[in-house]
Amino acid sequence: MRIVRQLKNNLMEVVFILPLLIFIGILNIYPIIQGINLSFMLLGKYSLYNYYQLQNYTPSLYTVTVNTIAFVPFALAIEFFLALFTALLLNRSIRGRSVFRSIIMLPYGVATVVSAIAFSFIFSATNGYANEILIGIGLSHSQVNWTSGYIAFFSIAVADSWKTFPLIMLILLGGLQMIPESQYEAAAIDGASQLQQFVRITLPNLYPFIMIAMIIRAVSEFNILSLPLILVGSNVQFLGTLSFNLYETFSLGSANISAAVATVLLSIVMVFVLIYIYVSGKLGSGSR
Amino acid sequence: MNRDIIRKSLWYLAMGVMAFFVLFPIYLIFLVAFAPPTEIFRPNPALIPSSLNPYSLYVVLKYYHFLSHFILSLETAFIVSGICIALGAPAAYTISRMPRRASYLVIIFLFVTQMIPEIQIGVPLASAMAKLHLLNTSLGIALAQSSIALPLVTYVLVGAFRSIPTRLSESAQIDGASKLQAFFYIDLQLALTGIFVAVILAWLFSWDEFILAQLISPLHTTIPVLIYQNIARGQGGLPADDAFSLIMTIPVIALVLILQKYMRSNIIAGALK
Repeated sequence: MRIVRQLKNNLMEVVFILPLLIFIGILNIYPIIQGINLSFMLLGKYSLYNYYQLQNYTPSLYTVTVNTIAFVPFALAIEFFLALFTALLLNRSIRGRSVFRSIIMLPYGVATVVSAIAFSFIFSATNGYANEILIGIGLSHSQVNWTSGYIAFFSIAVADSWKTFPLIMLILLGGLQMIPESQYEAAAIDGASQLQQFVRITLPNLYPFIMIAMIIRAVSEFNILSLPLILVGSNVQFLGTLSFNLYETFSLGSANISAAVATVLLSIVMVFVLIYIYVSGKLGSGSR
Repeated sequence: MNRDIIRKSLWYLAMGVMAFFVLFPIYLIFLVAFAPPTEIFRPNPALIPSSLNPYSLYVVLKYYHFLSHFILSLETAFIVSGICIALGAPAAYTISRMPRRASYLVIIFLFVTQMIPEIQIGVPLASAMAKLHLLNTSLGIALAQSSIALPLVTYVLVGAFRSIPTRLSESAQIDGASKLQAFFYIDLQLALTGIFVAVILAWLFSWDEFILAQLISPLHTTIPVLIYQNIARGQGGLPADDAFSLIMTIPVIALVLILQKYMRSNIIAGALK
């Protein structure tokens, strides 16, 4: 009864949020459930066949899974470093700041296909700009093949960060600007060094902003597909991530097996999300 | 005094390095679109072309039905913006009035629903669209893209509504306005900047997306799909692609400049206040 009364009092709020939930339910959650179901199907019967098939996968499912788990934090770290560095710089009031702020935002408007084309010039296997620079300054004597093996992950992470760090920078800059100046002043009076102020004031205040930025990016990083498709393409030496291989299996026309890959990916993601909610709940209840 | 100068020069140096990192790839796109074709077919075209040549742009306009792809991309992006605001704004209003912890969980939930690879939702969606006769239409692409764009849009809108003090709509209700009136005449008006930012974000997402667009509209393609299909056919690095890229990028750069002017910290960070 209490629920009914509450519902009546907040009828507008409920009606407001329902369309969004229904939309996401039909377009995202239903296909997910359908995919999980499909992954256990063989000729109309439930079976683990598709998962056994995954063992014959090349590169092996294990490798691909490890690659995905390793790639995500690596790419996030690059993005986060670039974003925090620029946000800290842009948080100072110096002449020309707004011009630089505009310049830094530009990549966010460049489409992924376009940035991939630009970076394929930089990371070409022979005589690309990256190789020219490395050889020019004497760091390397031979051409580095940027789109094969583990180095491909580095190229992808850099190209991806280039496009996406501006958004994270904006979120972090927003967080920085919300820290009251008085906290720094008080710390300075107490003789705290710049580094101490950064560790004791800036980072804790920034924490929720860092967390949401990381969640937003981790989601896309797990599923990164468009960029590697163009940047490394069908390079057989690319070691693959789950979503990349999913796409490949799909192009080969085996919907059930790719559904199994997707289910594996989803389970990994869910583990991380649960850890995340647990950790942020623990920290959140303490500090806020 | 001296220390101040050193600090400032260090700042400009660091900012200069970042600006170079950001601008170099954009410069490459311009370079390759305008350099003479003979100079492009190398992994490292000369950074300063010997002459400027609009040949690639000419090819694009002459041999591709460029305008129809461009219009489809535009249409789709605007429909995505529309859907996202229509669904996202009311929902964001509700979320912004929830207790902090609950709203945080709802926002995370929205993002988590995206963690499934696009291909996994794209294929069942494409077969559903076929039944609804939405294949190869801008509405079909837009519906699929909206489901991915909605979490970010909602997040930004929650921030926009959070930055409006609740007492404004409360006092309107005391004066006899209904809840709905208070929402339409007060909160929605005051959140216009945030809504504008959200529109641009949704628009940008749609302009960029090509995995779903390719699955749902394989025959009548948006510009990114067109570029991708050229590359996948092994014609990557053709001047036409670079010209496409350039045409695709220029209007959007203007949009990003507008975006960053309005995307103030109170909006983007407001959802966490």
